[in-house]
Amino acid sequence: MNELLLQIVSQVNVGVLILDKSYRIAIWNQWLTNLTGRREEEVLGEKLIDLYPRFQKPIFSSIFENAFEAGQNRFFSGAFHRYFIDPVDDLAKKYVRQNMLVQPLQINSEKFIMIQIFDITRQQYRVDELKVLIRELKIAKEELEVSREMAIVANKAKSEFLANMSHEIRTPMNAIMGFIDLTLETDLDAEQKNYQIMVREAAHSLMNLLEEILDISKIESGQFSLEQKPFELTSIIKSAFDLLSLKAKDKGLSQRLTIAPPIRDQLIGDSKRLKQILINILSNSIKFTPKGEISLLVEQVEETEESVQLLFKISDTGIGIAPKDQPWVFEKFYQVDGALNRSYSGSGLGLAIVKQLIETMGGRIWLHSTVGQGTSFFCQLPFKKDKTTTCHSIQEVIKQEHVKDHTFQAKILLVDDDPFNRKIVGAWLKKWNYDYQECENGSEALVKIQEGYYDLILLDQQMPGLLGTDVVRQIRKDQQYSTVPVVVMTANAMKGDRERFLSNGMDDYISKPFGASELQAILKKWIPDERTGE
Amino acid sequence: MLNPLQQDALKEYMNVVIGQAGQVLSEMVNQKVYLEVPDVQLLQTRDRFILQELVASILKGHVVSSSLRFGVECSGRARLLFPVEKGKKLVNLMIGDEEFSDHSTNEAGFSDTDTDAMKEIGNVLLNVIIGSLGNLLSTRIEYSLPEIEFLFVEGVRQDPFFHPGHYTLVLRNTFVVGEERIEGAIFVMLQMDSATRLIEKIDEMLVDIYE
Ligand SMILES: Nc1ncnc2c1ncn2[C@@H]1O[C@H](COP(=O)(O)OP(=O)(O)OP(=O)(O)O)[C@@H](O)[C@H]1O
Ligand SMILES: [Mg+2]
Repeated sequence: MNELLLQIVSQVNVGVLILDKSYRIAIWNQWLTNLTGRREEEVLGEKLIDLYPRFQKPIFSSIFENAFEAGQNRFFSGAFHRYFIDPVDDLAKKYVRQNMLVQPLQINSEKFIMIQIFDITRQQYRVDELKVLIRELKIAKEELEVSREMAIVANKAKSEFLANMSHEIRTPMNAIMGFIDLTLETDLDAEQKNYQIMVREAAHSLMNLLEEILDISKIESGQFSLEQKPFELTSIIKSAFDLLSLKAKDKGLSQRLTIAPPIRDQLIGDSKRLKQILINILSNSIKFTPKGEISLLVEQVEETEESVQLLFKISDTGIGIAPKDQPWVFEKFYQVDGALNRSYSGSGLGLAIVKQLIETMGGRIWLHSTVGQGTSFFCQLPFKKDKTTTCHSIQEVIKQEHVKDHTFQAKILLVDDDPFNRKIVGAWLKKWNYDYQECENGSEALVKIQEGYYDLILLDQQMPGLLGTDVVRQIRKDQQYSTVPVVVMTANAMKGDRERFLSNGMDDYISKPFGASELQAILKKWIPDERTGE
Repeated sequence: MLNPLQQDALKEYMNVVIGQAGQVLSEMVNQKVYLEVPDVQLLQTRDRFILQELVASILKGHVVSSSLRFGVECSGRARLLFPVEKGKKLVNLMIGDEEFSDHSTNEAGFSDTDTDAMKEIGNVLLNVIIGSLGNLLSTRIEYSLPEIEFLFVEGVRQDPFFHPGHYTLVLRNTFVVGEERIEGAIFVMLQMDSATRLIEKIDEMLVDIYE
């Protein structure tokens, strides 16, 4: 048994060293021999401090005493002491790390000290490696921080430069454009006129680019602030929408604008920027949609005591944006397929401006898109409520403009007992290329309406027999004709008449005598597909 | 609970004791390490709330504990405790690893070497404290090997520090290394009779002082 224990002590994978009461070495195991090159026979009976003078130092000697006297253990770490028993290899001294554990032992009344030595060189090596890594990481992080700051400064300087330059270029550009317009007013032959028009177009797109660059650099260099002014939401939206509706019509696109109630109309914020945002996104929709429809839906998604959150959804049925391109479209100068044979105009700044504006306004923008099917942009924007005006929630606004096929002509029924009047109005309608029929009293009109479909009925009020209002009452009874727009023509429009007519089922009225432009406005309003001779 | 006089006497005694530990540590790391004990209390189960407050003020969250058990005539367990980041900072300061002593790096984690160092610091300190308690109570003590634990301390749970039927000697202690002050705590759990004898001894000291 004793033999076995001795073998164990000899073989364990730590250094084991036993001292007797007089600090002489009583056991020295194989591990220590391997470490020091000193065999057991050489060291047995020697005093530890003679072999290793460092143990004379008070931190050690007092510990040994404590172990004998008070029975205390003591753990020494390589972190503080490096090593305790020197390795035979001098080179190894540079790297070796050890922990040491000092414990009292007592057999009967005889006291001993057991010292165990653990090699932690590998552990220390790992820790050091880790520290090097951490240090490198820290340096890299600092460098990154510095270059990031430098980039910010550089970008700001660039933006300031651009802002100033664009501003400087804009002034002479304005002059150039002014003189082109003046030149166009002079007598030019066809060829000259043609060239001038091309110059004007080029100047316009250059000017557009300048405006965009000016915008983005102002935003980026921080020379830009948002207005906080009261405005009417619906009128801003409509004016943005109207501005682009001609372009859409030219391309043969249907358009739809929906402002869904309940929505707060009296708001405070930067309406100019709102309009700019909408115009930018809408003009993209039109530009990238060869056929189909573009639409704008406005909803109020949140309302608090002080403010509202509005959601604008701009959808098109255009070419779409592939998922891989979607994250990039808000980047400056990014254009999908920006390569050589790009068939779309523009500089790739529009959405970058939009995004910056929206974020400065405290909102966000995102998009859904499927290639070949279309794109929807969503912008959510906060606005303050304008509480100075008493407000009423607005009615639902739905504007639709459908493009009808080209053979279609709007049909108009003109009802008036006065032949002179019928002649003038008829002449205009003919000039503007409307298909129209006329009749001279109410009952005749009712028959005609039964016979065919009309896009609009122009109806005199004061007629022998049935009055205009009587005719409308009859028409509206029939479900089929309940939506045909009816505009009443009346000579003696007075205050309150309008309400009376409208409540009688008329859609609008025009007071006699009226001019061509008034009539045209009415026609445009009720027959949305513009078809005038102008 | 100790009365203010007893408390002062115990505090003075502990400051002397812990000063010795400071000397040992200073020699060990070749720089001045001062140890201060600004506050000493002897608490029992019914003083739980005081302990809770203390724990909440200095030992919340992840805590490193270096501990020793002791036994025979006086038995219990002693712990040196630091919030992990402070423990790490102390180790870095004592190893002289300045670069890593600012804890803005998220290296609150202890490496194996750090853990060893903390084990030794605890060992030195707790040996001195328990040794001196043994001297004071004139009793023989057996010591276990030092242990390191990483604990998570929540508000209400005081388990590792407080055992029903035991007294807990609570020392707040501050390590002063160079410019830095690092606060931790030492908890020594004592059996009832050891605690009673400790109070008797304190009273004897008071008599010595006032006579
Ligand atoms: N509705 C859309 N459908 C398909 N692609 C779109 C749509 N809107 C934007 N894109 C893509 O995103 C790119 C970036 O749009 P952005 O408005 O920033 O630039 P642009 O319209 O090309 O030029 P700019 O607006 O400056 O005149 C566009 O070039 C286009 O490739
Ligand atoms: Mg665009």
